[in-house]
Amino acid sequence: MQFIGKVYKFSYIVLLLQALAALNPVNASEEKGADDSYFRLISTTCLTCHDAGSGDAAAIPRLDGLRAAEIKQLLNAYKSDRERGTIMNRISKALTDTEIDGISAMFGSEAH
Amino acid sequence: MPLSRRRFLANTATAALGAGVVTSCARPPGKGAPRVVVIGGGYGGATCARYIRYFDPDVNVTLVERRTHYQTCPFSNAVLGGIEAQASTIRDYAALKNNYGVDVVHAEATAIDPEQRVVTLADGSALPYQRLVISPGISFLWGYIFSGYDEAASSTMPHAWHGGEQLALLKQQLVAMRGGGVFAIAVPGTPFRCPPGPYERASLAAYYLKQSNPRAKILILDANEHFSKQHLFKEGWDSLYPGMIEHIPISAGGLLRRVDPARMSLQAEAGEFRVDVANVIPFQQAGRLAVDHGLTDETGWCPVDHQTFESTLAPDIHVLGDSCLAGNMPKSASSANSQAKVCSQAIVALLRGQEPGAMFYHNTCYSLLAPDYGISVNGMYRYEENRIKPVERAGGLSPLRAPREYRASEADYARSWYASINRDSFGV
Repeated sequence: MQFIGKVYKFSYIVLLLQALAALNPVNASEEKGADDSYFRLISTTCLTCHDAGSGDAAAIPRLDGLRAAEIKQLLNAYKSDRERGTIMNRISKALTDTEIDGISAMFGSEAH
Repeated sequence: MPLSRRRFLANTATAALGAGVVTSCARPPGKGAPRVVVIGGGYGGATCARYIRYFDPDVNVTLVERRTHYQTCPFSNAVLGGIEAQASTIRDYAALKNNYGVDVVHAEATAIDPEQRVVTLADGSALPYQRLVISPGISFLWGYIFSGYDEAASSTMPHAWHGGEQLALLKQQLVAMRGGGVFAIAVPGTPFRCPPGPYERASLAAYYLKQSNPRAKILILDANEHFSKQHLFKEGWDSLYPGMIEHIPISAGGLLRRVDPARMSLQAEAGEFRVDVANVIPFQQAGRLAVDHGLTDETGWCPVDHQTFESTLAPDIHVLGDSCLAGNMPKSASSANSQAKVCSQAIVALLRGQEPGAMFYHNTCYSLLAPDYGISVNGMYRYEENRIKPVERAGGLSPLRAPREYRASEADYARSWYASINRDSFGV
C-alpha cells in the first residue's frame, strides 16, 4: 500500500506540474532550449538595430548603460502596449517571459 | 543565474558585440584549431565570419571575397533619390581583419571539393575547412521572361540591383531625363532580392523628380499581382506624389515580355511602352557559386536545414542569405544578418560535437518614401517543427493612416538601422 501510495503521490505531482505548464505560455520546446547560448543568440538579434557601445548618438536607443530591471520593464511595457513605440511593440510580442528575462540579463547591469 | 555569471554575460554582450575590440576576439586560435571558410563578404558572410569568432574565439575563420569593398544594397535607392552619397554606402573588411581576427582573403573561389573539404582559389592555393559557409547573394536569369534583356542591354537599361556602376548609371540617366519623361521600372517575379526594393526605388525616384522634373512620370511594370508593404506604399504615393506613379500589376498586363534598348521600348502584355529611362530588374536565382556547385534545387535556390543552414544537398557546406530557402524569411540584409548569427551558433556547436539548440530569427526592413517618411515590416521566427516558423501575433507592418510624426520617426529609425546593421555585420 505504501508503495502504491508513493506512486500515486508522484503521479499527482506530475499532473499538477502538467497543469501548471499548460497555464504557462512558455512551451516545452522553448524551456528545453532556454539556456545561456540561446539567450546569447537571441540578444545578438537586438544588435542588428541597436548599438551597444560604439556608435554615435542615433534615433534607435543604445542598449548599454541600462539596468536589467529597466530593460525588462521596457520590453514588458512594449509587449502589453502600455508603451507605444513603432516596431518594438511588434517585436516584443514575440518574446516569452523567459526570453525577456534572458535578454535583460545579457544587456543589463546589476547596479540598482 | 548567479550574479557573477550575469555580470560576465552582460560584459561580453556589450563589450564584445558593441565596442568590438576585445582582445580575446582578436587573439589567434592555437594550432590545430578548427577552420571555417566563409565565401562571400556581403551581409550574410561578413556577419557569419564575425559571429563565429565571437561565439568561439578558438575557431579560425577565413573570409574569401573577391572585392576589397562592398557596396550595400540597403540605401542604394537613397543614392538614386539624391539623399545619400554613393560613397557612404561602401564598406570594407578592415575591422573584421584587424579587430575580430578574421583572415580576409581577396580572391575568387574557383572550386569546392566537398569530399576533401578544400576550397581552391584563383591563384591555385588551397584552403582546407571543417565547415564551409557560402553566402553568394543572387545571380540573374538573363533573358528569362524578359526577352532580349542581357548583360549588354543592361548598359542602356540598367538593373542597378547590386549598386556600383549600374546604380551610378541609372542615377545619371534619371538626372539627364527630359522634362516630363517616363521612368519605367520592370519588376521580376518573386522571389527576388529585397521584395520592397522596386517600390522604394519608385518612391525615392519620385522624391527626386518632384523637385527637378515635376511633370515626369514613373511606370512600374510588375510581374506580380501584389507587393511588399503595398497599402503603405500606395497610401504614401497618394499623399506625397499624387498622380506621379502608375503601377501595372500582372493582371493588368504588367508582365514585361521583350525589351528593345535601341528603341527604348518595353513590350509588356498590356502593350508597348516607349520610355525615357528603363530600370529592368531581371528574374533571379541563387548566387553563381551555389548554382555552379550543385547546391540549388529545381527552384534555383538552395535548400538548407533550417536550424543550421547546412545544405541538404552537400554535407559540411552551409548556405546563407539571399541564396538559401529559409521558409518565408524575405531576401533582405536583415534576414541574412540574422541567419548568419543562427548559422554561427550552430557551427560552433557542431565543431564541438554538440547538438545545435533552440534558434531565433528576425527580419526588420525599412523603406523610405521620402527623407522624412519611413515604413517598416518586421518578422520574428523560431525553429519549431524542423522549420523556421513565424511567431504568431508578432511582427507585422507599420499601421496605415499613421500620423506624419510616426512616418518621420520611422525614417529616422531607418537611417539608424542602416548604421547599426553595418556595424553589426562588418564590425567597428
